[in-house]
Amino acid sequence: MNHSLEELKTISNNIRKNILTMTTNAKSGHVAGAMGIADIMTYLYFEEMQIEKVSEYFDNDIQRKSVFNTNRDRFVLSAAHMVPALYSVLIEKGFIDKTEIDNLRKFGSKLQGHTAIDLTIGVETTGGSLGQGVGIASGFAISSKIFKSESRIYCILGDGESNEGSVWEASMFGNKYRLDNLVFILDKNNIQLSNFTENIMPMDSICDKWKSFGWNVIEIDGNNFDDISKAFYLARETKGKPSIIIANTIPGKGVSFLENNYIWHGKVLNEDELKEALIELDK
Amino acid sequence: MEKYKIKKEKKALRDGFGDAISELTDDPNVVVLTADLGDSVKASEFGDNSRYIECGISEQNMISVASGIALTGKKVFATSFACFIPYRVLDQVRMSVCSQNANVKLIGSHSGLSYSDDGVGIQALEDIAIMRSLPNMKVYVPSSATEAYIMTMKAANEYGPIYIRTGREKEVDFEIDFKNYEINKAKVIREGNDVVIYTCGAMLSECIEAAEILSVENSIECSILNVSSIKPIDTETIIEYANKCKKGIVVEEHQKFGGLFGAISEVLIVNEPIKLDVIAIQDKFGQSGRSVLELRKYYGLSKENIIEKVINICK
Repeated sequence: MNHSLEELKTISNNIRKNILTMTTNAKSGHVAGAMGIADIMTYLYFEEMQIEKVSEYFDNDIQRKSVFNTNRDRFVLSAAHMVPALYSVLIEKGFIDKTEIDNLRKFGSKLQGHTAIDLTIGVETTGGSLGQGVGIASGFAISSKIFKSESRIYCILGDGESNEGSVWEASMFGNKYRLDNLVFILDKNNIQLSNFTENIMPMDSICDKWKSFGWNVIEIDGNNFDDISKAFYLARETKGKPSIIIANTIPGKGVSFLENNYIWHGKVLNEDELKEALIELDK
Repeated sequence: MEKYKIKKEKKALRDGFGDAISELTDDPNVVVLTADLGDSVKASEFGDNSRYIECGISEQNMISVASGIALTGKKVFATSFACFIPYRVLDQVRMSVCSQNANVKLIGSHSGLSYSDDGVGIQALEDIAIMRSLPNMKVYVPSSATEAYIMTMKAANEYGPIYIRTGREKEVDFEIDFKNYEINKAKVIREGNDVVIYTCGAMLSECIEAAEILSVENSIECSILNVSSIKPIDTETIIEYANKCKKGIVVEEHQKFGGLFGAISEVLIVNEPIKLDVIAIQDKFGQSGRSVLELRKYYGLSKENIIEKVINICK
């Protein structure tokens, strides 16, 4: 690993502080899920993915501006409502200016309420409608195969999102084309907008489901860096089939009053709660 | 004054697309996707298996995959029946394709009533209205196999989301000069001063037949505009002919809401309001019939209907 465990923990703690600060500033946004995936996002951007800034160029004939290498690894946040986690890691990475933290969901801001494609800050896709990012990621992956690029593709989807039929269409597709350059990370935090997932639509035996669809399934504690590190290693070593990491995460992770409570799925902290939360994160 | 030349052989619009996609094999950046309908929509004419992706009967995933491939700098053709693209995949078309301005060409075959015998489930009579409403989307409705070929070839080199509506049934085919073909212009097919007929798709040949009969039997001279690019729409030519004829009929194999009639009305109401009527599907679903002509007759889309409307509007 390029970073020590302590360094990674510091980064993910900063990401959590960014998430809470920007959503309270914006007075809306999705907090719990974003907090839960902070460790995975940290590992992806600081250890796993090959992505670097190069000099500014235009991506293709629509003159879409990019500042990243064309053969980069690509990340898709299919569960796009967790975007505060993405912006926060991109801030820590230096791809987004720290001052933008005040601009989440503001008119004219690059930090849109859900992901909006912008290759000047490292947001690869537009999202908001669940069950589509998985397909776009599959498109990135098969393009990488057809045109012989080294680019690997990572995509986080939600357990609630897995209610969408199109997720299972993507699952069949990845299996058929043996997309071993594709890694899905299923954020299994057991909550969705209006209740616990088991009360909305049970997704029992999620590992068996994916196994039976032909995927290499790796189940981990998604808030444990050793587990995360091993999982991405195993995914990289697995050839001939795509991998999915079933990441058991704690929604709201890091702040005791946020943890494991679905009411924080789509709700933000008020100023007092934010103060309290930041104190806990600084401990 | 006629400006068209009919080819000897009838040909289906999908075959025009097939000719083009076969030729586009030579473009190394083209990737073709299908959802178990490659032979039916003629996508399988594409000649490189490594860039031809069978997605299975998973149209939603196909569209998202298409946008992903396109965002890596490729030109992607996603193909199916028009009853699936756009209906089944509207969300994916709106978000994955249009909102990201991805370079995806969407081919909807078997549109209108052209899959006559298969009935309501496989016919598509609202697709133009749906596609036209999406930002970044261009909507092309070729009138013949040759025009479908040309539009596909030109669309391949035009950046951004494009919907091309093709069909299954063999239709009258026209000679078209590829070199001088301007994709976003309305094409003047016939000159006349009494009524302008705005049409698109395979209804063009019915319009031509009607116009010739009207000329001989009723001394009514029609202009005919083939408005094959519905979005962007050629405002200038549409207004020019409205101004010239003062009376117009829109003829389309589509619901009367939101399709070509909607597009023409929008142009004329703010620029050159004229007396306008429409021949289209009257808020009804399709059904099975042994031939498309039988269905067109039932739904009021025959040349007799056109003749009647033109005579009425001239009264």
